[in-house]
Amino acid sequence: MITPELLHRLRLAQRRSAQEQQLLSGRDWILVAGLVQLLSGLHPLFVLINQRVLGSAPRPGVPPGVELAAEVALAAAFVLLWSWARYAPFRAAMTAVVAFLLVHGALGLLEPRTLLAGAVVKSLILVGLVHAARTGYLRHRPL
Amino acid sequence: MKPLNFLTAEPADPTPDVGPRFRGGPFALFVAIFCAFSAAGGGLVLWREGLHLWAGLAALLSSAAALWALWDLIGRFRGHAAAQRSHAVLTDVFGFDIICTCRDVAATVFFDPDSLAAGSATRVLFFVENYASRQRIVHFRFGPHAALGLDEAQTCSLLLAAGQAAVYVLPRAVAPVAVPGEHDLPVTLRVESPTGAGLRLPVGRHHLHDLRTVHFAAPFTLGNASTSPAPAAVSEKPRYVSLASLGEPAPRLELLASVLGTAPTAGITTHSAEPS
Repeated sequence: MITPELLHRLRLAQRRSAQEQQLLSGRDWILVAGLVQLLSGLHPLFVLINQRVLGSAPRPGVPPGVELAAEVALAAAFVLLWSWARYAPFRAAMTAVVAFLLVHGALGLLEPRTLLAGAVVKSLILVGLVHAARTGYLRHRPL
Repeated sequence: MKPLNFLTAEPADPTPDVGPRFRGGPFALFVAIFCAFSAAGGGLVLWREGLHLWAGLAALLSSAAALWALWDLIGRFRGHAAAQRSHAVLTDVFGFDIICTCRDVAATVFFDPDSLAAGSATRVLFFVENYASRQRIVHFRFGPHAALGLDEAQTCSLLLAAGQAAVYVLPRAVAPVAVPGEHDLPVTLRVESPTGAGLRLPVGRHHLHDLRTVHFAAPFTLGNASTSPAPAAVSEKPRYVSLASLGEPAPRLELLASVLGTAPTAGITTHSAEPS
């Protein structure tokens, strides 16, 4: 029969391995958040094309160019943070959360309607980033 | 195509495949309902248009697809009544933290010991358990990792009978010049179902999501080099040991204890269970 000491040793080693596995998944969340962020930049892109090419009337609030630049810059930042997360997962994920809140907070201050536009997608991105931060934190917590 | 060369756990598990080849899950239910509607609707519309031949053909093809899906569903319900309960060795007996399965195979990979000095020996443990009523072939691709002497990625393929749990023990020696610190061995798991998907066996209260490919990063901590400048010479051979079988009333853990009971010593030699 297997001894309790051996079982305990195996459980500790397996738990450490499982946390590394979750860390891989957490890191991927940052990349997925970046890709979703890039896709959500399609809306201001279409608005910009409507205004510049088709000559539609400009809307009040944040100019679509500014919104597009912010979305694309945030997506690029997420991809860089995904790369950094290989070495510092918790710090990278926390930076991603802070950057996301700052950018969307600033856009929301300028035009509160942007907070409501795509609220479901924004919530999903935030859930993913918090999940990444959580798994990064778990890695450094003693077993 | 490269011939399939897989390892069979010792002792051999004679558990036969049971249950239907096709699982007949929600997708089969959708196909059955959709094709039944298509057969009725498409057939009637074409019949009223005077296209009797096309109406008959459409009804025949759609009905055949609906019946095939329905047969899968019937097989699923019949198989559930006969399905045995899995021993759930990984999740319940060992209490491992398993977050998902790969085509019904639960797996975990880790080092024992996972804190060691450069130049010493360790083992990589690949625990697998089949939660399906039909056999699976598990492919682990691991490496490369310079500190473990893996210059390129290697693959080991393991056969798992229905409901079987097993462990593949791979002894490795760490290079004496390896850089101290935290290391990860990248491992990718893929699973084949050569005789069909079969049914998912009941596994206690656990709900495990099923994936097509699972990635692991087996961690180990490397301290400073041991005093001996020579690399560890280990005589231990890779082994693939069965831990539980559906045909037995309880898991057989004494084999694991005998394999892991002693600390790894002495040199890796080639053996039939060596990964290709």
